[in-house]
Amino acid sequence: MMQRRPMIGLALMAVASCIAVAARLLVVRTLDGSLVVGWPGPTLGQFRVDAVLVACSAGAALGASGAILQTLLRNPLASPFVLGVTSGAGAGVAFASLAASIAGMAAPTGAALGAPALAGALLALGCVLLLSRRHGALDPITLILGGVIVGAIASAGSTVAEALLPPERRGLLTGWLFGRIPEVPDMGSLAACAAAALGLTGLGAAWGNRLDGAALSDDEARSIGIALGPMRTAMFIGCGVATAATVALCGPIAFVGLLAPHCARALVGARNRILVPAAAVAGAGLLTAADALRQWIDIGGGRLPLGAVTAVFGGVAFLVLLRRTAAGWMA
Amino acid sequence: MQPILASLATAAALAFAAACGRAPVEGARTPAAGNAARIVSLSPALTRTVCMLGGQGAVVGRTPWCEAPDAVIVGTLEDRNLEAIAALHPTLILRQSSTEDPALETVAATSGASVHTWHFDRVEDVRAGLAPLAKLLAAGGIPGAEAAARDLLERHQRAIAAPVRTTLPVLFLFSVDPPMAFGAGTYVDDLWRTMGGANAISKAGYPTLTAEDVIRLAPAAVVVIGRGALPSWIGSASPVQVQVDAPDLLEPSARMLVDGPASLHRVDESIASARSGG
Repeated sequence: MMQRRPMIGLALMAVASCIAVAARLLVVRTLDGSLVVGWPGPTLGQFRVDAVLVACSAGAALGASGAILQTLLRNPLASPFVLGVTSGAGAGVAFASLAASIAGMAAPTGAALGAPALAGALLALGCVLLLSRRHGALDPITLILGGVIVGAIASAGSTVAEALLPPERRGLLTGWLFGRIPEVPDMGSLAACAAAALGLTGLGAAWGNRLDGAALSDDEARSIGIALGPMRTAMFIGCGVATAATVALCGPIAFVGLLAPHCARALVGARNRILVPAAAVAGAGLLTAADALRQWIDIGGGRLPLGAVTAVFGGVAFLVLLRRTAAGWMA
Repeated sequence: MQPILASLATAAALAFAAACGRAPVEGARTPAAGNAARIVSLSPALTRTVCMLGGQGAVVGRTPWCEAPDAVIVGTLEDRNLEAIAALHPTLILRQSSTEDPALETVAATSGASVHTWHFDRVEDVRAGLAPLAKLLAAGGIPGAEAAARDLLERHQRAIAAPVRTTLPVLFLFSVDPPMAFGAGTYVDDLWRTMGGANAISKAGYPTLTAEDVIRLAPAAVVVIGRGALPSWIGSASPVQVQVDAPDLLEPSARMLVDGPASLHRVDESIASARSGG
């Protein structure tokens, strides 16, 4: 039976996420600077509903991935970025933009960026998984190193492609790299991301006890009967695919995958059976809140890029959390 | 390990020898005789303007995006190759920036060149920059430059003298995902207002919008400058959508002064036609 404290924490998190969703659905700042509260009618309302669906799906996928990776890698700084998937997606988009430029075609935007982003993300993930195989199983240390190196190579490729792009096309690529919550998403990408988020969260919750064991040393985990190899492989692939689906939908989004598990852990504790769903809820709430905040702040250039909001606010929030929980994040 | 190190050392030595023996940068020439201008331009807009003033043959160094194929690529404003620039023995180095570049100034001083920095953003910037630039070119042996500048300004005046018919607010976008607009005080806004039009965006600069912002603005027409498919939601923002492939409106250069108004007149015709059901 679940303990009472984690359930209360989960409920608190769900309420906070609902407030973020309501804020995004009902409050915007118009171009003349006034805050408008209320439901805007079906046409504009549909934009807001779609944006919330995107933010919740992507945030949940990043939150669940972050929680699982922090447990499997036994590293509180692990996030979906360590798999190199985000950099791979960026390289996919950069080279697609370059190819379009060389072919004299219009720069790919919006949903057209989903395919190259996904291809780049999956290619990077495949390389990382291949590199980190040891004796038929994935080795966590090699996986982190492989992810960092593949990510660095992909980032370098992006830089090369960006340098070769004409200036008027660079802005689109730079804008994509800041991350975005599309108001008119590609429904296929949204469905894939939502399915990945739900699947990974469900898997993480179902295998919660095994994940708890995996947080111990390899020998301890084996001594209590946990087969680490197959579970690690399944979880790493699941996290990689979920992150790839997120990047294809929204571009790279910083800090949510790192921060959400820490928020969840502070409220529900470190048992993965409830931590993974809680991290998914926290991720959904955080990303929706960031998108809502983005609608309200105008410092002169129109809407702030999403990546700027998640990095600035997420970074500060992470430092506060780190100070409060550094002593015992796994407690 | 030793054979590998030896191979690496040999390869490095061969590469060094090849580099030492290499001819000067392609296109590098000896210092110009007399006052003949040798121009390095680190701005595509300035290169285009120089070419329109008759100085195409004098451009010896350029960025990858400048349309002056005979000139050597010397990098970009942020990442210029100082050695390549020095090897070209320029007399004029042109750049667009709001900051100084001391290293470039040093290279220019040793080469006997002068660095000229402009900041073309509004129509008035380009107009005001034409005469001094033409004077520099004329001093560098391009005698027709000043007459060309006067001619460009006259053509510009004639082009903007004809008013547009669309007086209701129009939204000009140069990106649709996310929507990014030409706001107040930009060169497209300058041209359109001078020709009697109204910009739907009163905010200054190039604001990033959301689809909801665009629909709330409810402009009389949405004009998308550039190529590529238009998103379906634009139909909800305005019954009139015009897409125009007009590179002259994507760069504040002399071409924008002369051809920009013509592109905007085409836009005006399309809007009028769409509004009248044609």
